[in-house]
Amino acid sequence: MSLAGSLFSFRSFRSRLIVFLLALLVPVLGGIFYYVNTNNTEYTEETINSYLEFGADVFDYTREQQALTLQVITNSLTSDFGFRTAFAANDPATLFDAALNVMDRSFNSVDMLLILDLDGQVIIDTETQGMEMLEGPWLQLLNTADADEEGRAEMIIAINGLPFQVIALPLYLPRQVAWIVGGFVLDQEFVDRVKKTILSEVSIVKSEQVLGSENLVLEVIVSTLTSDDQSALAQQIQFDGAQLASLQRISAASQDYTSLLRRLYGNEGEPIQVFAVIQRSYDENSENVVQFRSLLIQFYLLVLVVSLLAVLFLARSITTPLSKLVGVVKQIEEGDYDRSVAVESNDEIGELADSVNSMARGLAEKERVRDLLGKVVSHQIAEQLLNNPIELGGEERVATILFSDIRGFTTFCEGLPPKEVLKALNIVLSTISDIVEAHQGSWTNTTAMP
Amino acid sequence: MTTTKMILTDNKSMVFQRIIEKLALLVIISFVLCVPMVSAQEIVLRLLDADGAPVPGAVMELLSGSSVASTSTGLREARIDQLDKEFVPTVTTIVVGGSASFPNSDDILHHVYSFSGAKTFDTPLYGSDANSQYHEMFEVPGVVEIGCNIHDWMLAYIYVGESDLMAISDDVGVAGLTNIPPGQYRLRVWHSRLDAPQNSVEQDIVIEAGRTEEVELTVELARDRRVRRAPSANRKRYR
Repeated sequence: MSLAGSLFSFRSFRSRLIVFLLALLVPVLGGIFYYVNTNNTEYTEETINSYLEFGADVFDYTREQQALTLQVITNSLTSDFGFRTAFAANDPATLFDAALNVMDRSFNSVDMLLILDLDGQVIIDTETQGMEMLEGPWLQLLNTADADEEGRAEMIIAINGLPFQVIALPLYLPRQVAWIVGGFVLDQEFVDRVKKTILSEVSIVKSEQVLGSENLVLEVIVSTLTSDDQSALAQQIQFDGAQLASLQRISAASQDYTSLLRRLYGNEGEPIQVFAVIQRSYDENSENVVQFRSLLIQFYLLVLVVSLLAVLFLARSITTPLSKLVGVVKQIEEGDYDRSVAVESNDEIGELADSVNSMARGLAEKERVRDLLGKVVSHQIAEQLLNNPIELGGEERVATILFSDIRGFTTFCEGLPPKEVLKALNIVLSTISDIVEAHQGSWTNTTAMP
Repeated sequence: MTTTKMILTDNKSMVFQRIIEKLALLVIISFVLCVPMVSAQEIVLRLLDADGAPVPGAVMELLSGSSVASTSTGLREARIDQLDKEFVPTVTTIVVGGSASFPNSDDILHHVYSFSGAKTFDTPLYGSDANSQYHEMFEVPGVVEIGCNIHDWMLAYIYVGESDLMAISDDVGVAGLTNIPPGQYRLRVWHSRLDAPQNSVEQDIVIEAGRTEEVELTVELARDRRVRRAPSANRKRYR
């Protein structure tokens, strides 16, 4: 038997049906499951992605709105005649106080002010960074403002480790005499506000290169996450070019987060870079998928169990009468013709059972005839008579006929008991009969003649 | 004409001053009564920007070794009007020691101020009939930038000159002076957007008798960064 044959040869009809069912059902169910699951997962990821993109846009929008407020307030307050007079007084201490006054009047929309002359020399810095001339990103800010038609430029700049949204504006007196840079800090209050709108976690993360080495130190500056989740974020988030553009999975203490990054300050490779990280709970978003998947699996199990039960019932309805029939047929084979099968069905199996029953009856009748004949004629002749049609008029044959007689049999019998006589007679007759049968002869008659 | 003669008197010694004054009076009379005199020494400045476009509103000043106090009322008493929420004119020349008045022709109040080094002042809010006597004196040469605290876009320049030989370039970028006493001068050109220290450039020039000196100057103009008047600011009245 071939390998395939041996693989698919079954000892029972039931197992054949089960395997057939499984072979049919499992790939179909598996295929559906795979398709539905893949699509659902994809859809969920797309949903998370769009939620995060939306979140990042809202983050930017909130920042821009606040920058606009900053611009409006900085512009109107520094156009105030008192401020103009203070500037014209050319006394840094007075101007510093005037700047603080502007900040006080801004209802926390302005957290810092920097006043620069047209050459970029610092006149007032409320953050006291110790700059005399503008440097680094500040210079970039001023150059952008200088190139702008309205003399306006905005940027995010890290001041003393905190990210500030800053905006540069000209100070007119009535011609431009200086640059005013106003800024607000992107702090806890800010991220809390954004979180309220986008229902996602918001963090601002700084990556700083350790002096004299390649190592980067990641620091979560402000965040709506718990402190445990914040440290997971700092440990796992990646700022490389490719990672920056794609969604990242952060396994935090409380749950998994899908995270999206937006660059706020510093370019790739620069020692200080600041990013906004928008995060959504992965589990929360994939809850529907997980729920649907488990529902699907439950449904599949139900389908499999019901199908198996149906198959078992079907197999049973066939195999029970069949094994009954098999038992009866085996007994008939062994010569017990008085058996009959009780199958009450009108299908093919019922028909088969009826046939087996009538066959058994036929065989029993035939056996009785054979028995009777065997007692009258020799076994061989009986067989021949049973198997060949009997022709009227007899049959012509060339035959050898042996007549045999035991001499002095009467005398022999008289002196012995009958058992002894029969014993001796059987020895003789057996010997003869063996020889006759060895030559396809047949024994017709034994007669005691006086 | 008188201006030119007065300069001549200054260049002479004080002994001849009275005689010269009489001569000048004669010249004036002859000028008024007779045919106009052919103008003598002139300077014509043509000012162009880097693109070759004329530059209006620039001040040309001829500086000689000694400074003068002009007798010309035009240079001594300037008038800067406020009309439809703009200063008119936007560039004014005054010789040192001169004064300017700031009438208000609008039916709203203005608050004129200057924080310039040459002259710092501010007038409290005033209306059209409240300031007829109001003057500011300008004792220090330089440029005074005038603004209005109510209307941020209003901007005017007062050029306080050391000499009375000043002219403002017109729409085709031309400024001219006539009847200049011959001699060595320093020509200073100022424009609010001129891309140079103090927004001005200087060069030596010789004015020869009976000749017209034509100077063509190309200057770099910086971006004009100022408060723009928003269209909404053109509404006539607050309602």
